[in-house]
Amino acid sequence: MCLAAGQHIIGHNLFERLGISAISAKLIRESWESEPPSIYGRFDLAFDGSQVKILEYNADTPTCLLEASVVQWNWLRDNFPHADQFNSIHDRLIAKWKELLQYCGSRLYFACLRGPTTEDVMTVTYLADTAVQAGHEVRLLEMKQIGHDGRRFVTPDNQPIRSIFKLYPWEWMVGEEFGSRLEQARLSTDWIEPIWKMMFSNKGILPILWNMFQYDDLLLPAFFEDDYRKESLTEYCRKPLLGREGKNVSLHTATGDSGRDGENDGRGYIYQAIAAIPEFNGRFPVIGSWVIDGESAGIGIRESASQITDNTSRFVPHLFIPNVEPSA
Amino acid sequence: MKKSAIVDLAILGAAAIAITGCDNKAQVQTCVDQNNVVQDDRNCEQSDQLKAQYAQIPPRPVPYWWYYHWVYGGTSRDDHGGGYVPYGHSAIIDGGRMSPEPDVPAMRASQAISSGETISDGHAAFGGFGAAGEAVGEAGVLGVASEAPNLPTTRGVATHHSESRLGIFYVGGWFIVFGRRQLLRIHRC
Repeated sequence: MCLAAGQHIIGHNLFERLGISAISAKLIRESWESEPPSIYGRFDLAFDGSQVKILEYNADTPTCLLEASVVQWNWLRDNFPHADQFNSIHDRLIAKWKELLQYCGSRLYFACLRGPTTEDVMTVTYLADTAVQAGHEVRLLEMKQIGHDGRRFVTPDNQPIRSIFKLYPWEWMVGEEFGSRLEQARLSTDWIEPIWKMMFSNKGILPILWNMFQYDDLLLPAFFEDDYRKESLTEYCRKPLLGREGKNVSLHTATGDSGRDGENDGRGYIYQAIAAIPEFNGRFPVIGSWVIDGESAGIGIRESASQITDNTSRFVPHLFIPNVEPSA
Repeated sequence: MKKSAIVDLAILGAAAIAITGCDNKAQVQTCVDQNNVVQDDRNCEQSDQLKAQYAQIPPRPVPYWWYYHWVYGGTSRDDHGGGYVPYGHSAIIDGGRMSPEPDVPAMRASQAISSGETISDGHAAFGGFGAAGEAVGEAGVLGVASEAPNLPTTRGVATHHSESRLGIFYVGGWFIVFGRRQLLRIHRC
């Protein structure tokens, strides 16, 4: 559905609707056609025991990867060795990197911001680890260590960057000083995730999906701010087009309004029907469903104290008991 | 689902030890201002130099650079919200020490990703990416000021550390590092 929606955005030139500039749109079109590698993404799903609904798609910079891939797997192996888990993330990551051995050149770079917290470094280091296990030579960089020599992006020691994984939002990259150099250097550097992921990490993908596939059981009704049909939603969630970590998300229900404040970037909102998320002892679990190389690879569960999942949510490991074949 | 029985983590396994500060192998050194808001290391470096020059008592009025100082250990917090937001320099450090713990090497938080520090010969421009994180000033999820070791840039690292089979868990302010079959270490960071 998302790929069809991406084609729809490109075919109908809906970039302005998503707050994406014409220059970025051009790069997205080119990237979409050349099909550079994409490694991962995470769908956030609500599950009420019977129905699964897509809350959003974290296509560009999802985190909570190590917890889902490794930590909960070790927990399962150590505590419930006879149970199983929806989890092949680690193996699929290595398999994808192996597939890209020839594509990525002699050295694969990984970049994120540096700082006092561990999550970004841990996510990038983990991904680099899987790349090493696939046979890549890797090097980690800080985003600010990425240079531009007038023609191409380079490392601090002036080595050209052929392939780089970045844990840094595309909408930030295109707006920064080197954003204007992305077009010139588009043939010399492959960015992972690719820039076409901007279409999917944008919450505007939700109303577009709803318009295209509104009879699909996985989707919640969703509308752009100027769509009169949003008035049909009695209870809804308002999300900024380019929101992250639950910022600026507000819930409007029969029992009242709630939400998380944040800086308004002026790019507008979408309105989405509220999914039923069951409460367990004051906690609301959301399923993060990982997609590696375009295929479902496992899940991780995060629990929050409210229906808005934010960066204080708790990761909860899961297991299932495999069906036992009936004896003959 | 079918997957490897054991998940090997070479680079991250090594990094986890440094990140959690387990084994007392290191303490994290973070530059903060008077409100314990994380700042660029250069501020503290400059402050150290100037404080040394001005010796004991700060002149009046107290210059802005006087407030920059190092904190050793502690935990970072941020009140922003879920998904991903790169951390910037607006996280606040709680706790920690004003002076380094004796006999424990200090590592700078800002060197979490530290390979390739050499600046080029001036033909290339740098710093054109990465500004947004600081401007927005949001921190990541949970964790402490940290540093990962310099990461090797050669192939075959996994082989050297193939016995590293670590998992790490953050629960209620505790980092738990565990191995294949046993809990290796619990450390309050």
